[in-house]
Amino acid sequence: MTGHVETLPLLRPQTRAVARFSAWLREYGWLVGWWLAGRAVVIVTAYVVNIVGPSGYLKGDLHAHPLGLLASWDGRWYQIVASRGYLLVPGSQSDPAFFPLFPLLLRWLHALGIGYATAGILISNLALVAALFAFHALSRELVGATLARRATTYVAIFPLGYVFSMAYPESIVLGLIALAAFAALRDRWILAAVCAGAASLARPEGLFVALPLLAIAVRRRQTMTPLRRGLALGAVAAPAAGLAAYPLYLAWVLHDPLAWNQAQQAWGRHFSPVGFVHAFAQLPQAVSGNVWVVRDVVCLFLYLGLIAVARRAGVPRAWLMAALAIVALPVFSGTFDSIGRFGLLAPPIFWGLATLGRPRIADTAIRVISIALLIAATVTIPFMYP
Amino acid sequence: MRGFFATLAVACLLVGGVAGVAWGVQVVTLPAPARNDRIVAATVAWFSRFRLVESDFQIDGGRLVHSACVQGRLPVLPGRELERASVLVFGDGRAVVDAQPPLRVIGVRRGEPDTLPLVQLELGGCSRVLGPLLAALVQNERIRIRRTVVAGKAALTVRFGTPRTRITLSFMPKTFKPFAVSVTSHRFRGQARIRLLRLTPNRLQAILLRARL
Repeated sequence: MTGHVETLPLLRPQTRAVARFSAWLREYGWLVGWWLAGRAVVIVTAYVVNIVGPSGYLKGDLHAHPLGLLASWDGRWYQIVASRGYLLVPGSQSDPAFFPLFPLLLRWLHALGIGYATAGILISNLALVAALFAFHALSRELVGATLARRATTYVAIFPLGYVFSMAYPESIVLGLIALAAFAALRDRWILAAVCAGAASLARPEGLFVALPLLAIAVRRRQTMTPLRRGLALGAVAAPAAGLAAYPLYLAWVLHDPLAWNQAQQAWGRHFSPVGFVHAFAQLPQAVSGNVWVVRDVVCLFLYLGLIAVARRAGVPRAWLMAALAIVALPVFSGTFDSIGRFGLLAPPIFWGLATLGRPRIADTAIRVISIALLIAATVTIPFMYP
Repeated sequence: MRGFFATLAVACLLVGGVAGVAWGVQVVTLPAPARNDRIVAATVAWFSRFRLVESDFQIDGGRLVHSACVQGRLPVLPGRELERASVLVFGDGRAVVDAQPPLRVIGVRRGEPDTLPLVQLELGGCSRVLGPLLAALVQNERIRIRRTVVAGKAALTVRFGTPRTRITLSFMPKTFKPFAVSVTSHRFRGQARIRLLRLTPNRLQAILLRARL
């Protein structure tokens, strides 16, 4: 008996840790596995394209790094912001069009001696696994365990998901949006506010997480104390606060709070109520300039369809509104460019896809097609920005 | 009522905290742009604001040539509307048309070396030729600006290049408004004084009428 008392404290923590780890692995091994599989597909394809593939529009950028493909396009602009700060070049494409959270992270990692390109790729790939956990946790609360697991798998291998491995902030924003909403569902409003604010500091789409947060706050308002109600209200307004912090910074550093808007115009984006008419009217010209625009047009209609499926599956209306705003509002800037990428930040799209994947055969087909398209989409990076 | 104000106060505190931290992190972490980068960006702004540049230039010590360079969506060729074209019209009505970036020159005379129109466009101060080159310089390279005197005026100068030419642009030290250009290629060397002007419909019509396109 005495022997047991003496040996247990030595063995127990190890045994407990192993048991805990194996239990965790049983529960989440599939998630890590799909993350690894999806990222391996993208990274290996990018590496192969780097060695033998066409360099398209990228040329020098492609071969500056073994995974140069993944640090290209906007990734290069984020690196410029991180290394040299913001500078508005009037009438030209310039970096205030890019939100600051990702360059901030790049700079912090760079301070540890990691190059900007490597830092960007590392951050987005690692952020994706965190985003998958957050997305799964949120999905389980909203659409149930089975659908949540399927939707999370689809996020990991989604065809446009090669962006989650590029030096882009999309994986961070998806994670922050999911975590903000999950925290709100658990009544942890300060965490929700921090995540929502950070999401909109990384991408303007982060603003729309305010809609589901508002819906959660309104639903629970009767059971809240004034203090908690204040925190909830603060969390709902936090995305706007995070978003406002960027023009305030631009006002401080460039003496121009509207520098973002000016830079957007130089990138060919100008929001107007009839912008979608221009987008459709100029579509033939845009396609003749670069045929890959068709990809974004297809994505727009595919996403709208998946949001409709998600609605039929009972996804809360606030989430559907947020997804619609993320997918449809960019068309009002007069172009379809990059809608495929923007949709990655709308969770209902994946819930809709998971609903379609209910029959086993459909699920298998979605997985196989997604991986094939993920490889193909990665190969197209030199020819079209995501 | 007290509950309402408590709710509002807590919400404001949280929102202010998020905004403050988000702003502060940017201020502390991100570098401010270098002074030289700002100066060149201000010069690019001059080029983006003006669509007409008049120039007096000399190439290889030859005669002084007066030119006007207009930019934008211009009806310069029959049946074709060029987007973002630059049209450089000389005093005698000859013209060079730069149809689109990267520089493609229409109107090179037979037997004439094709670097010449490029040098002329640059000496003509064409803002859609020099502006994008300067903008690319800001975004891709560390910029060196030198203090100097050009035509008896204190000036700042910046040097940059294309695959076929080296350009030195001089601008005013306080306003950063460009006023002189010199261009060197393997065959030609030229200097110009330029003036940025507002392009009115009357001026555009007069210039295009003068041009022998």
